[in-house]
Amino acid sequence: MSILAAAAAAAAASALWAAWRLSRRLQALWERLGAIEERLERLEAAQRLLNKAVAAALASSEAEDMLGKLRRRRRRRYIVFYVVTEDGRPPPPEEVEKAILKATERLAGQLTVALARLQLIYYHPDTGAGILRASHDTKHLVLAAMALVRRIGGSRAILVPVRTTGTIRTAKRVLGLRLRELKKT
Amino acid sequence: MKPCDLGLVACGRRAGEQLAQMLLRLGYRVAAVECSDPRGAAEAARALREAGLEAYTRATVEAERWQDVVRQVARLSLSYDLMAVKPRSAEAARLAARDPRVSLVTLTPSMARYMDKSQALMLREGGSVVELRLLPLLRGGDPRAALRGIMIIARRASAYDAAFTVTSGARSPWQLWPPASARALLEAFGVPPQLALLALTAYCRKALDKALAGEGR
Repeated sequence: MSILAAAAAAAAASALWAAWRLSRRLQALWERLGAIEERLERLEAAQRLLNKAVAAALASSEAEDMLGKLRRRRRRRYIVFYVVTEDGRPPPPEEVEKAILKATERLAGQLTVALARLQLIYYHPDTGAGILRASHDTKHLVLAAMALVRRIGGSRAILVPVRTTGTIRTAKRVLGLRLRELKKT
Repeated sequence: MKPCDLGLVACGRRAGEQLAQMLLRLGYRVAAVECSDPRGAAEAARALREAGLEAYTRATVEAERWQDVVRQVARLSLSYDLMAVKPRSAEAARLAARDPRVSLVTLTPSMARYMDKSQALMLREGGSVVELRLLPLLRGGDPRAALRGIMIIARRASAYDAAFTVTSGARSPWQLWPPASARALLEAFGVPPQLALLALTAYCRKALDKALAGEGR
């Protein structure tokens, strides 16, 4: 009997010991899991900070690019043209400029008119030759719109582009040549 | 290369003389005049030639069916230098592109849907040139529909490597387009600059060469 009781006690003790060890292991595992979770949270926070820093850097570089574009000198084009009218008398410069603005608005809209920064730089009232300034990216639209001008100040007219230049100096030289040609004829 | 306008409308000497003066001022050197009467067209072309231009006569055939194209072109090609067809259906457009007597296929803005890949292929095979008329842009009112149609045809023709030319369709000197403006309009549509230049020079010459070679006549 005593042997049986001793065996049962030993078995109970070993079971208790095994349970105690298992609980210790579980506790250790739990603690490790907690530590890993804590580390992950810290990593996540660091990642968030890093993301923020990268986004700020990108935004500032984009802003720098945009500012660079704004700071860059505006590229302009000078269109040398002359007016042919039905009665042979060139129209006044205000009417020529108004007609070009109206035609550009009709063809390409108000935004293009604003972006083109159109300006009649020079106009010779005797010969009807002039220089029109426009931005380089709207040059084609302005040239096409000039063809839509068929009436200036009530009389029939055509605007004939002679040449497009990048500097006002060249434009004046071309205009000078044109004026000399017109004087000859 | 000389700029050309193959789409003028003038009957008789007086109309030809009026157009010739303005054409020279604008810088054109080659032109084709259209008139329902062959003698009127010949007189107008003679007036242009006397002014120093290279001038030809042309006729435009409007056709719904391909049989109409064949019949009318066969009849008119004996009286005019250059034949143009304004197709009213897809089959007429296809046949006109391949006909050896037809040099120009006139597409109005409302016919932009005919300018597709197979049409471009036929144009390339037949050596015909698509004609774009700018006259609808000068009419009063909203130019958006006309602009859209012309833009689609020009962009598709350049994308599919089909030859195309721009004509004014002018009846009076005040309806002519300066070559620089016509070229700028094509460039504004998104046509490459070199092709825009070819549309006013070399492609016209191509149409004339085909007409003057008398292929199939």
